[in-house]
Amino acid sequence: MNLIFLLLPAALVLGFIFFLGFVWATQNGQYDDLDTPPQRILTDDEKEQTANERRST
Amino acid sequence: MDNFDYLKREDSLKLYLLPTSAPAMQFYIQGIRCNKCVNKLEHGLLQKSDVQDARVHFGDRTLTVWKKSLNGFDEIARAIVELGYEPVPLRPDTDVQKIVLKENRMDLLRIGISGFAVGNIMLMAVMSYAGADEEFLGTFLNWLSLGLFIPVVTFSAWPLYKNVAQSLQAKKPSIDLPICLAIWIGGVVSFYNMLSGRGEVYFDSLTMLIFLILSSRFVLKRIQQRYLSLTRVGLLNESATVKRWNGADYDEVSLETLQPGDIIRVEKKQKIPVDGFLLSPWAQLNTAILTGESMPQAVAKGAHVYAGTVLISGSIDVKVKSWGKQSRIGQIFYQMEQTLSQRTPLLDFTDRVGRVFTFTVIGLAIGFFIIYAFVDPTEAVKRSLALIILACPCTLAFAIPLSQSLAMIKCARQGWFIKNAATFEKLLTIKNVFFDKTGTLTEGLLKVESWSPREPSSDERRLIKTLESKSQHPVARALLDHLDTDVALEDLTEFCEVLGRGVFGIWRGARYSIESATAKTPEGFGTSVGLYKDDRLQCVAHLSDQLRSTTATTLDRLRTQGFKCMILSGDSDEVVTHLGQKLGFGREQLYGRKSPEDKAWVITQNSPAAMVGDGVNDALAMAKAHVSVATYGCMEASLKAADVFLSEGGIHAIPQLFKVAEDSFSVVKRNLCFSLFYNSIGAMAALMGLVHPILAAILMPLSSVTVLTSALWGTNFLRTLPLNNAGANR
Repeated sequence: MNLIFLLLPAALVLGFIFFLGFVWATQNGQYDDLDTPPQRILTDDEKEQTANERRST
Repeated sequence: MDNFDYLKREDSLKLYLLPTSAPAMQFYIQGIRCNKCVNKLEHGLLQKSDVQDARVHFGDRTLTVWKKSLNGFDEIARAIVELGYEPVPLRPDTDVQKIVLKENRMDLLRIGISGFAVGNIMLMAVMSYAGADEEFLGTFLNWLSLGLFIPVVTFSAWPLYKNVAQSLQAKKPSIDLPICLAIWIGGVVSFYNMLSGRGEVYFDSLTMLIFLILSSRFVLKRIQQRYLSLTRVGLLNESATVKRWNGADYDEVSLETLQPGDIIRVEKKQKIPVDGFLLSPWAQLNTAILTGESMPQAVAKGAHVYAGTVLISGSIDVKVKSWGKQSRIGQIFYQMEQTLSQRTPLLDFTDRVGRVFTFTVIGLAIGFFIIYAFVDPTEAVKRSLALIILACPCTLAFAIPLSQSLAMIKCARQGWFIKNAATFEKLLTIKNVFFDKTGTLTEGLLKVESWSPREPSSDERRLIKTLESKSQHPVARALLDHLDTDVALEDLTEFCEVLGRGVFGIWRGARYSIESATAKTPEGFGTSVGLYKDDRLQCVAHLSDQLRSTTATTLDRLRTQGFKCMILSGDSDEVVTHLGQKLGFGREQLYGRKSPEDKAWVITQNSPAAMVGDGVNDALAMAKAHVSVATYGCMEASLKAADVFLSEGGIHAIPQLFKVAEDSFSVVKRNLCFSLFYNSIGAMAALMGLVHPILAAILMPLSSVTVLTSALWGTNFLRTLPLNNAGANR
């Protein structure tokens, strides 16, 4: 039973790491547009160029 | 709309470029429906050599194009037109955009933190309730919960505190006030109980509450932001160039450099960019933007001409009086924007309930404390505080935004675009409904109804077709649509069009003309034109603007539902009266010959009124109306002034719109009942001192689940509106 005093904080720390990932993704703008990507994925890429490189803004 | 030449000029291009390192421009695109559209636009534009990247934002209906060089944005716009869409260049309003983007990300972070906390606290709460309340483990779990609760109650719940502060400043307490009270009192009481080791700890329920409120509000906010990009559509094209007379020739100058008294030249089919006086002998104008009148108006030398009206044929000189914001149409748009920005946000139903609630609960708590303090002061404090926590109408705070979002999404799938959730509530107060005529009740297009005394012969048909093929007049277009022969007569000579009279030509020695005929139409209104051979009348075509097929039944339905319907039109009294009588309107319900300013006045006199019409020429009246519905014209301009845009055209969806409003309000009322029921149980338990941690742990989630289910379940009618429907037209 005493193990819980170690496991609970450990689980929280692990969760916190994922939370940091969420913060990073949000600040990176990954959740700014939730409508277009699910539409875009439905058709095959033809010539998807290096779109990310080009958008430096 | 299709002329994008102004994007070539550097000074006007500057107004539209985004402040990015590579030249970029954003367009609002009408007609984006599905994933095919996204790909068609993106791939279509990427094939152009100088396009760096093209990205569609499906929700905003915007397209951003990055280019390698500055010039050629006019070609991009034309390429979009070729792909089958209507682009509208958007001016960068970077401040608003940046603020919105930042706010949305911040909201997500707040929700993220509360979500993270709520998940973990719930796990620990389950352990506590399951019996992990031994001295040391119980305290340990409580401290961990407190650690998770603190960032939620400070950082995540911050928007709630801001709302409370604002509503207190305005002296209109909102529903957030009892919620914040419950959160803080609950937090402090829990902390005290945790330290003293006795009594209940509410960290889990409070965190859950904050998480649910934040998420449901965020959903509603995102739906309402869908039309945000429309605020960046310029209604007046102020960047246009004009041709100014310099004494010997016409110079191409930009509008801003004009002086009153300058003389400018306007060409055929162009919009007149200024208010001024006509210098040419006369001109034929489409003044629909100001009057709603679809037939061209003839004006003579010296007459006032207004910005926004379109020159139908020939070219004219105009002496400039004013332009841009100073022109009449500019003033109308300016006033519309002023009215919209000054509209006080409605104190919505939730907040009104919240106010009553706050006073009742606080009054009850204080009253109880005063009475019970004589019996047992410490117990009195405990029970009054428990009352404030347990009687909080928190479920309302997240159930209402959720059911509103659902209704808005369902309406959008039907092709009814609603800008703001408050519209539903405003719809319920409407007594008077005003309808514009052209395009709303009618099709907005002239059509040939009949011929008298006989149909034209096949030679005559070809003759009419050839004569009218060069004319821009709406009558000519109606005749061309009506006649299906496509053979043009080769040997027609000396063709000419006399503005305001008709078209003339000579064929096989005889002089033919199509002019307006004096014979009355069988309907008594509309227009008649006759075909003359050597001034002898051959046959007459009767044209009129047809009623939409659904108009009469919809009006009847609205009347039986108890609405007062009225026509508010810029057309002549005669036309309005005739149409009104046909549709069963009383004389006092017809308003003809009304300028945009008059329309706005009528609307304010008959408040609360709804205005149904076309978004541009009724813009001012719409802004003044309690609720405005646009049914005609282009969506982006309409939604600027209107609360609702019906993409199918016609008014048949309006009774259903009222029904949606009514039903979503009855869902709200039902939720209120549930919420009151649970809260009064909680309040009773608190006052009787029966509060046990397990009670809060059961009551809170149970009331949340009931209210959420009720919100999602809706009503019979709301369930008939499908959530996934390909029928969304735009």
